[in-house]
Amino acid sequence: MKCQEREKLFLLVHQMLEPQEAEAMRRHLAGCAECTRAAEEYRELDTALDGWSVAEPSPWFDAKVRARVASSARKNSGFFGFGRVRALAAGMAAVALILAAVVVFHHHVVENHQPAISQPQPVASAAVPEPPATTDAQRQPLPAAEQLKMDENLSLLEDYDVVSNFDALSELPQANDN
Amino acid sequence: MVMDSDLDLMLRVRQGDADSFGELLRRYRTPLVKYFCRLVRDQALAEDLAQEAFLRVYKARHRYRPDARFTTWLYRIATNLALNAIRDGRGRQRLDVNGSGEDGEASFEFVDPGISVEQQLIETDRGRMIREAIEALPENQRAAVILHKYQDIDYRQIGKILKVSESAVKSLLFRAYETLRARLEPLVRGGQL
Repeated sequence: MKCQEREKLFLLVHQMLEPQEAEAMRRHLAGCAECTRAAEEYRELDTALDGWSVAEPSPWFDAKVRARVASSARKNSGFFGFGRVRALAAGMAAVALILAAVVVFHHHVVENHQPAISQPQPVASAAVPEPPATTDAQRQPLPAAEQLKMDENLSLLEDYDVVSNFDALSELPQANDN
Repeated sequence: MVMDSDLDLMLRVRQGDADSFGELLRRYRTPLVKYFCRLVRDQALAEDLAQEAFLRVYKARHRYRPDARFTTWLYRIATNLALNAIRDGRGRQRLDVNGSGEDGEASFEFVDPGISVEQQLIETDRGRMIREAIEALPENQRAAVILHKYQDIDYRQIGKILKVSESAVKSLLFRAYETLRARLEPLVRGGQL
């Protein structure tokens, strides 16, 4: 039997053929033992499939559905009903609060940073001004009198290095509060 | 007394009539739970999905179009839920209702407790064979067979539920039944194991 004929036979058994095609198939069945047997197999298969039973719904099924529907309805009324206005108002208030906090924080940060930016160089570096750019003429050996004066001040310059480096003082043991 | 049609009930549900929703629930809870049971193989999950399907009907009540049959709409929601659950791997657990199957896994078939133990064993084995044969079908064929055979839904409506043409449904069903005929030959020939 061709596959297409078999499909028509299946459709006939399950009443899915158009009336004209069904009539033609019935006429064919009347004279074809093979197709009659195949049609009987489809009916037997249909009966055999009845053997698969499954459980009924539990007794509390309706109650669970009603509870879920009620819960959903409550949520919806909270959102779509009067509650929606309150929810929107609360949301807008929260957004406004956050915006206000951001503005205040930003203002505070700007205020704290502005003086630091406008201040000149730190004191330590101010005490030791950058040496002026030297020219070839300035690189000439100093006169003997000036050289002597510089040597006299050498210890002072060494002390300045120590005094200006306060980090060294921080390494001293801390005084005991007690 | 003339029974209200599903359409009338659904239109009243749209207007907020809880009794009409209750009537639809009463009419379709058993077919829907059984449909899910056969598709996902897990009683607890089947009930959960059936509850979810009714909840979605309620939530989407304002979008219900009276030109569509209520059952088409309901089973479309249900089929989508079931196939998603299967794809998520949630439909693979089994519920031990009647002992273990041959492979040691708990079986899910439900048998009438009023029949004899011997008959129960035969029925369980028969049910297991059918279930395994149907479960081995491709997703669309499985849904089509269950809708056609167990939910008694017309092939035209199955097309609308599965969003395929009528000729595609016929083809799906034919191929599915051909596979089942081969797999369930022991049941078909002689009608007994």
